[in-house]
Order: sequence, then structure tokens, then C-alpha cells
Amino acid sequence: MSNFGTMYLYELRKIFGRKLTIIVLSLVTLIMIAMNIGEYVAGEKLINTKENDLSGREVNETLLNEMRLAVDPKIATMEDGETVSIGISVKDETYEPLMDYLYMLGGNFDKAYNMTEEKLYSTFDGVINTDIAESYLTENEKAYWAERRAENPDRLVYGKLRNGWGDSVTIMYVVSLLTLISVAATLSGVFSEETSLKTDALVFSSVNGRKKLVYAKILAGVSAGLAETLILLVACAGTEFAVSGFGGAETSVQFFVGPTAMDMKIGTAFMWYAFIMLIIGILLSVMAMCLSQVFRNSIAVVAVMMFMWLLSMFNIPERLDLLARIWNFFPVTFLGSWTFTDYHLVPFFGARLTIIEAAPIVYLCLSVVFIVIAKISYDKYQVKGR
Amino acid sequence: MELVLDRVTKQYNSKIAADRISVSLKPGVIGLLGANGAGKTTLMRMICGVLKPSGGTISFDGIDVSEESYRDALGYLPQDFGYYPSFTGRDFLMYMAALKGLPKSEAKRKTDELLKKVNLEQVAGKKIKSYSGGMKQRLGIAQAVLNDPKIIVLDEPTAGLDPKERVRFRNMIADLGKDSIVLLSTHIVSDVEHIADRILMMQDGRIIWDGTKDEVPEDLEHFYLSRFDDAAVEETEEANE
Repeated sequence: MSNFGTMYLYELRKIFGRKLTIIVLSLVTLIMIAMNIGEYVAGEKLINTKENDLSGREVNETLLNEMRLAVDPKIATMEDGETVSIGISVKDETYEPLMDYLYMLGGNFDKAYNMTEEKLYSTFDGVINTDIAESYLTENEKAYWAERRAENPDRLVYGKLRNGWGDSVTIMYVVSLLTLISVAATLSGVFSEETSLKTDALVFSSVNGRKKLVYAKILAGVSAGLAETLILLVACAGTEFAVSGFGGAETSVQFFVGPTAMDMKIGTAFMWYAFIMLIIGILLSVMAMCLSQVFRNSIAVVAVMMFMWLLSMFNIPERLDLLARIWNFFPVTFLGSWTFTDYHLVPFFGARLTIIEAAPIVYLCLSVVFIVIAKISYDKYQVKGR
Repeated sequence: MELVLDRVTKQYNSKIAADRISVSLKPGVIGLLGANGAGKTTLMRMICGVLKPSGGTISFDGIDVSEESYRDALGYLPQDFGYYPSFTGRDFLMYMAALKGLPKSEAKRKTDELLKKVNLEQVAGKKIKSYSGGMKQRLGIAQAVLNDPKIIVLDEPTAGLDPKERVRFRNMIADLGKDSIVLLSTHIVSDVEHIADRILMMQDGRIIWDGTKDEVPEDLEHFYLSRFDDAAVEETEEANE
């Protein structure tokens, strides 16, 4: 094995040899599992075994009629004599999740019960049109979405609504938050500990300590960060799949994130989000190591990354255009259901990418920038900074 | 084989830590004596390339201190050297061997050989944090010579060692001096008295005396003390105590 391989393995040992790494990683993984399992234990999520009966069917008038026959509306008479549904009792559980979804979309039981195919898709169109209108899009972007929607008119494909794919997608932003905490704790010392442990003089007086080692450290840090991200992803999706199963991948993403012009199946959405999550893991790892090199102080790194965690609570209004467009890529909050209604586009070598398509490229480019900054700082610190 | 320092200077704002030091060092043990704050560590760090001189040049057989091949010939034990708490003694040496560019098979052979030489064979699998001060110091020496360096810089290597270990160390350092330039800094005269082929005395960033033990007209300790002013003498005595 070359020196690089040996250095890489020992750098990994340094990272995973720290008690803090094991403690923090165990805690965030437990939190992730507890959050998912807890919802079932507390009864906030129920498993409907009959859902699969409708899997793969398009939501149309026929299906809506079947649904109406499967539920009994509780009718109330208003002061003006009009009758409205104020609740339902379910006769056939197969249709319950569809009813729930229409309730969420319509806002009340009456609208949900009386939803027709035409009303459903016009409501959909209305929500999407409003979102696009309020997104401060350029004419080019508006034209892109008009063209795309004309090519693929909104059609909802029903499936298993309580499934691991959808539940994982809607909770993925928690994985990114926990990854932030995990890599901040475990990678903040990759460079700074050489100073605090007083090993830097040994490192910089060795033949490989000035050039090869920085890459071995970065590769080890990225590997560790990716491993942590993967563990959290498995903890998140694994528990969801274990409870809800793998069925329902073909269900329209709109059933989980609401009306969106970014039409895709929930299984595809999960793949995108899991892939982007891994890239975010790389970005956060590289960022933590870059800060570790620049500050040479682990606590300062953790402080900055916890500040990022606080920043995730802020939002920048769309009217601030460029700033909002940049802010929407904030890695800690990117993987929310809200991203499916962000219709900004990113030009890329003549193509126009949706922000979901652009995110991996943006994050990888940012990772390279952080690596370059870390390398420059490492080179400067070797002699001049000491 | 020659290590040449030409008008090497290090200045921190108004303080001059090394003042135009010019010296040529050849194989053998060179003892660098000086009170605390004399500039020994600054000089050694510059020789090891971890501190940039404000002026002057350092080269080994024409190779500048900043070059990779210079570091290839270097072994360094810093005054207050650190270690990785999660590493065992063997891990530490294997890691340092990789940093020094040794192939894995050679690294393993040298690690085993040095662990035996510094009497750490029995505890090689234990974590360094469980080592005593003397054991850590021995491990430090072992890492410094892993790559069979031509220049060996040992900054206060006997600090924390008991008398028996100190004698063993001296013998080891004397051996190293047969084929390498060994620069040994200390403020304890007896450390260099027995093994140094050449003695340099430093005060206020300058070399104030350069010669062999035979050139010393009296007992080395008295001669050494006589070179310094009263304040420096007191400081040295305190340190020796």
C-alpha cells in the first residue's frame, strides 16, 4: 500500500478513534430512529394495509366516485339551509388516505367529499399557477414551466400513501440537520487538533506532511462524513421502510409534497433526495475541515456550524430575487417538501436545470472551493503562519 | 555531508530570537547549550523548516531547507512533542513512517527495530496516553530516527527522563552521531559533556561560543556558566534543580 493509503487509514482512525465521534454519531442516529418510530408508537402515523388495493390507478372521476361510495359524509345544515359535509365515517379503509389527501387539498370535508376530477385538477393548476406567479421568475423560467406542463399535464397516480419513500422524502431535511451536527462534532478537529495536540511540527518536518497529507486528511474526512450521512440515511429510510414497506414507489410525488409542477414519482424523488443528501454530506464535511484548517480551533468550527443550524430557521423572501435564489440552496434546509415548489432554474452549459437537478452540481462545486481554500490555508500555515 | 546556516535571523517585532547565525555543521553530535529563551528552539525550528527565518539561508549539501529532499534527510524531536491519544505506540510509529515516505514493509521493520531499541516493545500495543513521560520521550526519539535521517534535531530530548534512561539515551545519540549530524539542544551541561563532539553556546539569539570539549580550559559546567551573565546563570540553576 502506498504512503497515501496508510496515511488515509490512520487519518480515519484518528477521526473514529475519538470518543466524541462515536457518542455524537450514536446520539443523532438514535434521535433519527426515535423520531420515525415514535410517530407510529404515538399513533400519529397509522399503517393501512388496504392501501395497496388502489396502487397505480390514476385519480379520475371513476376513482373519486368509488371513494364517495366508500365513505359516509356527516351532513350538517347551515343557517341558509345549505347542507355541507362536516366529517366522514369510513366504510372501506382502502379509500381513507385518498379522502385525507383531498381534505388537505380542499381545506374541508365538504370540498373533499364533493371533489370532482375537473375540480381536483383545476385546484392543482390554480395552486401551481399561484406559486409560479409569486416566485419572481424570469420570463424564460415561466416559459420553461409552461412548456413542461403542456408536455406533461398534471395527472395524479395513486399509490400507497403511507410508504417509506414518501415518509423519507418529507423528513429528509432532518437528516441534513443531524448530519450538520454530526460532522461538526467529528470533523472539526481534523486539522485543528494537529495544533492543539502539538503534532504539527512533526507533520510539517516530514516529507509527506506538507502535500500528500492534506489530501489524505480531506479524503478521510469526506469518507467519514459520507459514512455518517449514510448511517443517518439508513436510520431514516430504514425505519420508514421497515414499518411501511417498499410499496408505493410509483405514487405521484404530489401526494406527499402538495401540488407541484415538478412531476415525478415518489420513488424517483427519494432517489434524488438521497443522492443530494450524500452530496450535502460531502459539502458539510469539506466545509467543517476547511473551517478547522482556517481557524485551527475545533470550538470555533462547531460554533460556526451551529450558527448554520440557527440560520436554517430563517427564510429570505422571494422578492429579494438573487439573494433568495442563493439562499434556497442553503444545504441544511434544501431537502424539504418546499423545494418541489421552487421553480427557479439554473443555467448550465446551455441547459436549464431545476434546483433539484442543479443542487448536486452546485454543492460539488462549493466543495471544491472549500478544498482549495483549505489547501491554500494549509500551505500558508506550514511556515508563514507559525 | 554538511549543514550550512548562513546569517540566519529570526525577528519577532522588536525581539530578535536568532541574530545572524552562521555555522557549518558536519557529522557528529553537536550540543547546543543555552539558558531558557536563548533562542535554541527557534534555531532548531528554523533548521527543521517549520519556522521561516526573517533572513539568511539554511541548506544541507546545497539543498535548501524548504525543499522536499531536505525533509527527506531530516529527523526532528520537538521540545514539547505531541501524540495522538487514540494511537498505540506502534500505530504512531507506523503513521510517522508513512509521513516520512517509508514503504510499508520497511516501516514495519524499522518500527519493530526501534521499539526494541527504545525499550517499548512490551507496551507497543498500548495507547500512548497510558505511557509515562519517559516512555513518550523514547517514542519521540524513535520517530525522529525512523527514516535513518542525515540531520537529526533533538530539542531537549532528555527532559522527563530518569537518570538511567538518560544514560541509555546518551549512548543512543552518540551512536547516531557516527553517521549523521545530530544537533542536540539542552540547558543541562552533563547531557552534552559526555557525547558532544562539538559544543555551541547560545545567548540572546547569538552563538557566543563554538568549539570542542577539548578546547574548554576548565570543567564544562563552570565554563558554560561563566559565559553568561548573572541572570542567565540563576535561570539555568533553577532549571537544573
